[in-house]
Amino acid sequence: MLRTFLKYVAFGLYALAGLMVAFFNVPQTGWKALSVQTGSMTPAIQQGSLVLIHKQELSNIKQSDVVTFRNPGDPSQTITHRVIEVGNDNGVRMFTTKGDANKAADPEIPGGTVIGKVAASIPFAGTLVNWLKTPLGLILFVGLPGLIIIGYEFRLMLRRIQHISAEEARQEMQPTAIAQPPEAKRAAPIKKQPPRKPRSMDIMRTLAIVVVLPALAVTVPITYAQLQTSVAITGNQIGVQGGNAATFCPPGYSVAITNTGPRSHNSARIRSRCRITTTTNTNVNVKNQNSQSGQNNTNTTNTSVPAPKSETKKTDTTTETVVEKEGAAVAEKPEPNQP
Amino acid sequence: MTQKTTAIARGVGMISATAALMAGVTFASWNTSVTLTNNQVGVASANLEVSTDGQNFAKQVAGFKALKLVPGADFASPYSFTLRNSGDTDLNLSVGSTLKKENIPAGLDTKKVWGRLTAAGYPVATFQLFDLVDKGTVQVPAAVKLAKNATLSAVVEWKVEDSAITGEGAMATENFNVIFTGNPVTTP
Repeated sequence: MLRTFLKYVAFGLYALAGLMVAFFNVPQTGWKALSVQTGSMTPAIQQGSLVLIHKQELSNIKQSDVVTFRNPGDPSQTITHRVIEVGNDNGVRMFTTKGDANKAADPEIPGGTVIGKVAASIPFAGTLVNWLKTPLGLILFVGLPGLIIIGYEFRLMLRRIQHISAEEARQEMQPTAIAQPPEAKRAAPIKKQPPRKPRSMDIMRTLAIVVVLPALAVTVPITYAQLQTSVAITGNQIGVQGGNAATFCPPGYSVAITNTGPRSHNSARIRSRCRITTTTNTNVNVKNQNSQSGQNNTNTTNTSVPAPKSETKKTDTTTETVVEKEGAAVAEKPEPNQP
Repeated sequence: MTQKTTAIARGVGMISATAALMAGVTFASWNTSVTLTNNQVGVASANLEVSTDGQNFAKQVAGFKALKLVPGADFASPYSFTLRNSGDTDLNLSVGSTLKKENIPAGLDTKKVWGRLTAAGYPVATFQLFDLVDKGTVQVPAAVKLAKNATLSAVVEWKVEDSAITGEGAMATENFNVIFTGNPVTTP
């Protein structure tokens, strides 16, 4: 009873494996199984998991979905990472992805490279599939069962031939059987139970052992939850001479720079001005005026008042101090013949 | 005789079919097998580090401040750094930055600001500041591969064309980070 039960369980598992092979290899189903090779999606997807991916409309792929896509740098390789940003580039849906365990995001990829969205992951199943592809896995799950089947078939063939020969001999001996001496009777092959004919179950089992399980392993491609490592060079700045407030102006000032045109030998004349803007609350009586402004000279204070439309209004006064440091801000390329 | 022939044919057929399936599956398995050089190691095994003195390596270092560039002048403000792959796997390098368009001064044409990367053993690569703006991670020019335990010393310099600045405004970018990322090299 238990033996029969185990037999059916085993057959059921093989049948399931067979169905999986068929299901994940027919493109029309939109499903694919991939074995995850690396650990950058941990803890969501462990290294050695089997992920089941389903082809999706790009519009259905959203931020935080885990997708499998072709590596732009190596289209033969697939990568399984999480979408962290969805964008659009001239009508093309773009995705930025990142491995959960990675510090840096991947380069942005166009939607066309996405194979599908991860629907489920089965821990350790990918490791089993990978192991089936190893020499030991092939020996144990392909070589050994294959040799057993070959041996069994060879033995069965010999027994059938033997049985047929015995039957033929018996038929030849039958008319003179009475005249035969007892020794001859003993020499005749002993009629054993004829070898049983192969049943459909045997053929299914053979197919299951030799084809289905290894085929499952062989037809499950691999994907990389690509491991990354990154370093940062932080706090970089690029600017022109006199164009940075921190290095050119007094503390608290901002800088404004103007390209006043070529100076000599492809160098530009740059004028920098440091400004500071303070806001104080004052009552200013303004009547039908658009603005007031002071002089704007070097090292002077420039006061302006926004244009009020009412006759008298409480308003803010903005004070701007302009400090021009033109001389220090001129950026000039040295003459070619000068050191 | 006919029965024997049938029995032999059936046996030979089954044996041949089994052998063929074994050979086919084995062959297919070998052909689809791909090995990742680091597939036996964990996340911590890929480790990229950076240094500005070639001695003290860390995950991040203070960057360059090329703030005295002279428009129209040649490449200047060299900044040297060294990358080291101290992990267990070879790495493909890519570079990205956190530089955003909104952090670029209005009057600065980022296509006229050039960077030059000189790395030992590789051709000199020039790129525009524009290449780093809002582009996320981009592949390092010349597809730099960094073998395990190897170091790569590089110098980056900057140049601003004389017509790069128009109008009036502050002409220095906000602080931004440059991020080098190493992806394990896969071998077929």
